[in-house]
Amino acid sequence: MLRVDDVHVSYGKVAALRGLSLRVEEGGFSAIIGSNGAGKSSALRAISGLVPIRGGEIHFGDQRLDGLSADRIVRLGVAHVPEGRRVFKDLSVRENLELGAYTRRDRAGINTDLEWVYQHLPRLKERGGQQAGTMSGGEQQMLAIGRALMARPRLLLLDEPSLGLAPLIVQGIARLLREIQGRGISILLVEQNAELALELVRYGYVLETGSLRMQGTAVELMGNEHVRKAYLGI
Amino acid sequence: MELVLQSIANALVQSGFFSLWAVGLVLIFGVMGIINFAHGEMVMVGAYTVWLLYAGQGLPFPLALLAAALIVCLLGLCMERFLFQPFRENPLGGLINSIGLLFILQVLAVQIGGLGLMKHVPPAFPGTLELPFEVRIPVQRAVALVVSLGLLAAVGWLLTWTRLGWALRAVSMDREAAALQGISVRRIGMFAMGLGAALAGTAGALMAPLVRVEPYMGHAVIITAFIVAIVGGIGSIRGAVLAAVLYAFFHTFVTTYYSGTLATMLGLFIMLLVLVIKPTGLMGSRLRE
Repeated sequence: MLRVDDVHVSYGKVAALRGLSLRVEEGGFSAIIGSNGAGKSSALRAISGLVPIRGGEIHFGDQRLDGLSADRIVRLGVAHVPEGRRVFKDLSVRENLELGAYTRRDRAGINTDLEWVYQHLPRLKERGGQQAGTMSGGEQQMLAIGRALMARPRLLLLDEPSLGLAPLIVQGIARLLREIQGRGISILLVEQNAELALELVRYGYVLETGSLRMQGTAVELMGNEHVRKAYLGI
Repeated sequence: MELVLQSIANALVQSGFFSLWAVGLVLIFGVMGIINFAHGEMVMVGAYTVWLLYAGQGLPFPLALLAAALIVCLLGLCMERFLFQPFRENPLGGLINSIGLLFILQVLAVQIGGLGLMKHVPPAFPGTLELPFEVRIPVQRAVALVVSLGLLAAVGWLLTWTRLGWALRAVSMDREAAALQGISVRRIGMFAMGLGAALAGTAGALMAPLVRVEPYMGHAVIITAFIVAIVGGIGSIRGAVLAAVLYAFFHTFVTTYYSGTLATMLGLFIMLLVLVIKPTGLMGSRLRE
């Protein structure tokens, strides 16, 4: 479904990605793990069109993504929950969710999805009229994910959803991600928290200084000596 | 007592103009991240359009007003397309381009209407409203106030209740996050520019029969708009309107009882104080990098 082939990204003269290739299957759940600055966010930003790529190709289904503007890519069915949540702080929770559905015109469908989000994230319903910026970090993360779902995407890109959140809230997010995958939405997750990521996904990629160090099923990676030492702290 | 009441009436009319100038400036800055130095000249072009079409060609005033709004809106769209968009990555470039355009528009105005000659625009709505306590408001001013208020209410409605308005606010809060919702930042930028310019053009058209129409009338506009936008909290529309009302009263009273020069000087001083003490202004919650 998503094919990333030999993608290069650089900021000025600094290379952030040097030839990344990866796949996400239809309905699949994959993760990119790696430490801070390994290029994980750049990978997602390249896919969703926030940064131009310097080489390689990105395909989504039979559509070529690289070169398209970010708003076009959303319309094709790729939603990106950026690092740091980036909710619209001065807008209400409800307005944030409505903006997630900005590309859609099917009012009935939007309401159905809004109901789904409210049902699975009841805190958002309680706080519908509240300014998003006044909520806790965990609630803002929930809102950012809910907002992305409102676009009714086929592929969801998640950048560090667990960052800075308490373990209990992280568990809630993990449950939510499983539910989302259960709806048939493919997920590409980027996480520093390798333990969490490998618990959730089927397939993982290990990124180090902009290059792919290794890849494999979650079980394979969890058994790998390097991964255990460098990322799982075992 | 009569003077106080009269000054209040004058200040109300002034509030409408100040708000229109500042809201346009803030809208453009919020969405595009560009300080439009030519904003005063947009107001001037609006006034000149009315002078040419209404005073010169005898077109009905409402039509001339509409034409002014459209022409300045078009000017704004052209600015966005040819002066700002090519400098997307470089906000300083956009700002410098707007300064260049400011001079070009001033020179054009001199070429068209000459310098120093009074460009008389007769009031389209003659007569005076006689209010209690001997307060008098020329009908032309009352009309200007009503139209300004109507426009501000429409902008407020747009920003609060429509998806387009939410998208506009989203872009001004976080361009990237807005793009990730499928919002075309470019189109929203165009829209903000067109709307901000149309507001400036309308303000100029409404002012034309009330002030001296001359090539450099934009100076006072941009200075006032800066003071109001900064005191209100740059990026905040509501803050801009609040500051516009406060500053209009301040300016009118100081002008009435002392002098206009002193009023503007004090206004700039207040702006500096706000920048030092509370850089986010009255309502602004954040500063742009």
